[in-house]
Amino acid sequence: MNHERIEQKLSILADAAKYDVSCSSSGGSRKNTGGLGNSSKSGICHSYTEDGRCVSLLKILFTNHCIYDCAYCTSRRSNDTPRAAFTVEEVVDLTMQFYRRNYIEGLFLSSGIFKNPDYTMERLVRVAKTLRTEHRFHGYIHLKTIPGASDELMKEAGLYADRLSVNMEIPTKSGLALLAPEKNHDDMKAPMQTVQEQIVQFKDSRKVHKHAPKYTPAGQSTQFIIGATGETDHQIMRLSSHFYEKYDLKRVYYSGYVPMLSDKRLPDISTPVPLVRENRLYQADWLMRFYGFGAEEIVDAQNPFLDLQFDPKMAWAMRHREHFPVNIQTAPYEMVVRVPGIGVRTAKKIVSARRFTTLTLDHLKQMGAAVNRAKYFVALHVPNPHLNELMKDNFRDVLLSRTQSKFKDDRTGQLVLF
Amino acid sequence: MTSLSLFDPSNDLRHDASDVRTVLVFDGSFEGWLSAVFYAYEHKLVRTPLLIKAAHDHVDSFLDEVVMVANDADKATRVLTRLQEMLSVRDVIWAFLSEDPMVYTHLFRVVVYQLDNPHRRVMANFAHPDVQAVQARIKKVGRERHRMQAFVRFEDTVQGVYFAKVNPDFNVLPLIGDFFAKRFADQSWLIFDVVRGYGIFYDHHDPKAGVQDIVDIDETMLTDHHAFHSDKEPIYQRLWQAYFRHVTIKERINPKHHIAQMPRRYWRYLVEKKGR
Repeated sequence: MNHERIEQKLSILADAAKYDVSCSSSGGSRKNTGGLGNSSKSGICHSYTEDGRCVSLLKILFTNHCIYDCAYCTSRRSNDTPRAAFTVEEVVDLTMQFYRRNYIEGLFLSSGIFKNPDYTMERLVRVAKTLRTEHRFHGYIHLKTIPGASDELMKEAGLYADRLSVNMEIPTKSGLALLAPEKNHDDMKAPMQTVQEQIVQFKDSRKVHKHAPKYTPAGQSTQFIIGATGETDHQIMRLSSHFYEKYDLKRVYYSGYVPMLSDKRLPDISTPVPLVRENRLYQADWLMRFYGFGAEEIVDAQNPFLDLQFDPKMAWAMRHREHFPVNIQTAPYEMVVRVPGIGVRTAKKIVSARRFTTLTLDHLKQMGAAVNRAKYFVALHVPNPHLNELMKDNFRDVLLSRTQSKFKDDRTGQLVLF
Repeated sequence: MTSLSLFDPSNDLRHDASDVRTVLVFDGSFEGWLSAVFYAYEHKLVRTPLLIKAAHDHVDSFLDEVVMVANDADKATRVLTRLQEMLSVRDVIWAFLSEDPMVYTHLFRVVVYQLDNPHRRVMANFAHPDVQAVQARIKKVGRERHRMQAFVRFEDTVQGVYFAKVNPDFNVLPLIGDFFAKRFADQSWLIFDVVRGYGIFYDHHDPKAGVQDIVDIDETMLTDHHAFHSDKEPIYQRLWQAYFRHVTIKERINPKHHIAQMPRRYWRYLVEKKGR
């Protein structure tokens, strides 16, 4: 193999894949049954890029040639950018060699669409199949499903991949019609539907035959680009919640739009990446998946945007002071975990430790709570002086004046926009 | 519950000079620590202000009554058997491997606390100072173990062994051997802890032998490992470095976060951070 040429290809095709923010290698539980590799439930981040994102998988495009012309995408047909395409063997070799050196957990393979969806999908599947069958590779494989590819290919993909995903990219139908007139939402949801049906079907057959094959054991995920069109956080959260419920998605990723192409339909090239908003969306997403919040509790038609000044749990607590204070000694876990500054782990520790001891604010601090936020919302066995603040009309201002945030500059920068 | 106040660590810090404190010194091995626990019970020292220290941490003080406790395999086994009934041995060993000078005493106090409350899982009392101290060290060791699973970088050598050097903060090699053996079952590998001067080795031609400790390795492997690189090794290192450069989104550079996630002390052995 010509390694200089491969280095060029790798550079081009890693560059083009980097805006896909999905990185996780978790949720799988593939064992090494002779050969190389396995995947562990927690996933492992093997490295971190200088922008602070985790590198868990070899994330590359098979090719950045594309027949589509979506305005938000660097690989769009009309963009003048160097193009390249791997061969199946090259991707397989890179995956195996990087894995053997413990650089990666596995492969994340996406692609521009060349010729037609089936032609593209067929190649992605061939990579996964070669790795699994010829090289007995049991590491993590995440494949992009190409909208418009045949059901047969989609079904085959799920037999070799741990996770499948299709990126919705633009959360609203009108936004998609504007930026990617050749695509539509329903076509993009179709593969999700197929994968979801297959997962259910294979789960059923495993109940009968223990050794029936697994189908995408780590489930499916999707991604939204944030800030490329005028979508509200309310629209995004409702859509995410819909996907979690209807398609049993494992993850929804939010990717702050990085302006890199000038186009009348897109934000100006000098627009900053909406990092704080992206961060708030992830926090809101976590509230839905791990804290028992519903989408409508976090944002609603009256408050369609997330509060950039406060995390969404704090924002919810300020709007719903009637639920507080929460008695740390007696309240059920579901309420303890809703206290701002108390996360899932700390809530579990609290519930566990209070069977032994009467808890104080000091204890909460030692267990990992952010007491500077939690102290306004909890009742203790002794009077809690901070509760006086909670009832004040200017509670929000009080908090704001006492909050230090690493985002402070960004926040004010963002607020000017509204 | 009764023991709670008795074993408040502040008690033994504030003891006055007349109140002589016993320090049990063991050889640093897990068996040695178990022997010391046995000794404490055998000599009815449990309710006294007592410290257990590893020999390499111990500094003599004229206020303390120092006892060197000899290893006793039989007594150690008896303690271990009893521990297994009440505590998670995994917890005990993970905390032990933190090599923290105070952990041996904290662990001992947790053992006492557990034996005093045989019907409760005392490790769930996150408000108890010794439980907290032990849990904190378990967490640290767990994090280091996870980082080693992530940051080990194998280099293919002419001997056909994938070789990696590591410098973990805690002695975590005993905790990662099994992970690497399962994952890299079809290649031979060697991970060498340059801080503690030993490594673990797996031979894929002889999987039954399992993961073996290895102390003697060729000095030049440590000083000039490039000499042992296979032909392909520099090529894949270059490719990985190229990949690493190109996945960064320049508009989002965030050095603080980068370093928090991948602390500098690991960079020395990371192929992608070489020469930075």
